[in-house]
Amino acid sequence: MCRVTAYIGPEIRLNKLLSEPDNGLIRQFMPQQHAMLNLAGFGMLAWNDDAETDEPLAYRSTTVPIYDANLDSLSRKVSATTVLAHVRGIPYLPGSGYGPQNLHPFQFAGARLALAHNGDVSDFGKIRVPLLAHIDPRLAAQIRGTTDSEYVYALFLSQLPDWTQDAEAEEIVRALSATLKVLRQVRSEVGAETRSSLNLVICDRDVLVGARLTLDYGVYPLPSDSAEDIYSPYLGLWFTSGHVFECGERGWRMVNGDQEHRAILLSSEPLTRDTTGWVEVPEYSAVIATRSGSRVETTVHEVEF
Amino acid sequence: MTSFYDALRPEDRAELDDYLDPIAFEPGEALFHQGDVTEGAFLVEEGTIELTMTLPGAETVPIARVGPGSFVGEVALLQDAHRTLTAVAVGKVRAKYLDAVDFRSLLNGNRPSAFMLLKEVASLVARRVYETERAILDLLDQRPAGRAVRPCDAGAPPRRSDFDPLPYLGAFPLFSSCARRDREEFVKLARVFEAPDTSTLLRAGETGTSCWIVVRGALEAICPASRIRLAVLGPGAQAGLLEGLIGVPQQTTVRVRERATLLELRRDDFETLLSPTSRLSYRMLQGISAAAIHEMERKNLVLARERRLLS
Repeated sequence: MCRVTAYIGPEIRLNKLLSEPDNGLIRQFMPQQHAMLNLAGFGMLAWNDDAETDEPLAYRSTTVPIYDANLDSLSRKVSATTVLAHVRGIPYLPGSGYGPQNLHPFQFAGARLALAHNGDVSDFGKIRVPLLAHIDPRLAAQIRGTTDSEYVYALFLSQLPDWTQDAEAEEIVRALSATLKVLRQVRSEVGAETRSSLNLVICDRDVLVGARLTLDYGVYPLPSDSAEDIYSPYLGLWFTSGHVFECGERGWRMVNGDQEHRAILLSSEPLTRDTTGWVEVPEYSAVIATRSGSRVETTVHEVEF
Repeated sequence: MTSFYDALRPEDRAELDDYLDPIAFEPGEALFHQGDVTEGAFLVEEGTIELTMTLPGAETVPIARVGPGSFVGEVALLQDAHRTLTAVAVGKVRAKYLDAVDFRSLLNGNRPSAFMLLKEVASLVARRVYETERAILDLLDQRPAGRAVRPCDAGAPPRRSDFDPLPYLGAFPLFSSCARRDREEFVKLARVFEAPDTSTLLRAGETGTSCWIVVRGALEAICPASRIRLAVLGPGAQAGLLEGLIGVPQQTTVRVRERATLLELRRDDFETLLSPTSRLSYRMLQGISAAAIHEMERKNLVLARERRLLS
């Protein structure tokens, strides 16, 4: 099961998110909250206020990130104010789509928002072609890989008023809602009806969105003798916010939450084994964090579909 | 706050006394910290304990104050976990400590009192769940718009189904202590329903006549005033079971989120089930205790989130 972490806040060295916390993202090749190993690679976009361009640093590698010496070296030296990083997990089967073209996060040329996905759209093979009818042709032309995630990204961008421009929080929520409605409709047309998890983390330099969404939650295939399929909790997405993320007496945590909130961390599972101080994004909802000067404003929105 | 100890029968109380160790705390001293590994529970005899929670950003907020007759940290008796709250003595406190290992040996001893003790602890956790849910609902009533769900439509009612739930129940924690023949016995007590989206099963303010267990699909619990969703209940989850255990009305409205296959257990049958008459009763009570603890953990997380979002 893929893992994703995103951050907006004061400049932070990348290894403080990726490797130093006891459950840092790249340690999640063997995640705490899922039994599956994540061996299909790592991708990251990182923005920095000092850069001459607002294009992010992009890093993608199919190497298992815990063994990636380049990533280790880079993350010890590079700092960022916005990060979107993803560890990819796929079924251990030939034809599962292993390869660099399928690494998250996705960011198409000309698009403001990038996206990483945790979850899967069941029966995706049945809806891949019908979905194209709902995707802006300029975006469809940029799809390079074979994943459900990249199609969902293209579909989501297509629902925005103008995917080449900045989007307001309300526009993002409406686009998420429209994306899920299209997916539900297209799935219904082809008879696809089992659970599909769509935890989507979307960002640009100053906006971070964490959407915890599932289509047909609880509807497992019939018949099924897989306990994992039958008893499958709603896929988690967690966040913590405060002044700064740092290591103190009680390990890594956001501190000084009673002061102005300047940072938010969003992750498919907490970056620390001690989950105190982390809370879950509500089901069928999106947390939207917007940077305004040194402050980060956080709001929660219901996503109807 | 519930007096756990006083609710016990004299013979159960006498048996429990053998395992209680006196302990005292000075003002400001912590009984335990949030995040600590659970070891046992404290029965307060004198003084007051303040329970607090650390929120994201390390801000600490008060959750409750408890006094004489109350148990603190009772989840530890049923399950190894991490403390979800910090407990600090407000003034001088005198208490009795019950180690989780001792409590479980009492249960495993299969004594007549074991069932009553387990039922009391499960009821205590269920009451805490209920009180925490009340605190969450009070917070949700202060929310700005933007999180309300669609109004509850008058959806079609659930219909009886011939779906066989038996192959699926073994995957659910509620039945984790049950053997196959226990599950077969349970299914004979219950009725299977199919419910379309938006069917309302339980209404806030009413004492339901049935409890529901989700076999497939999902329900959602809605705050009646703000119409904010409090919980999503997927396969293996229950609705109305904990309220039935402690005899209180629903605080949320429960409706179908995704077309669902459900097991209905009528209140009368539930009460029969919880009479200490059979192996099934004892094993189901263990499952209900596990469900209550799971609910407690979920509710604490939601309370922390809502307090954080309101700050």
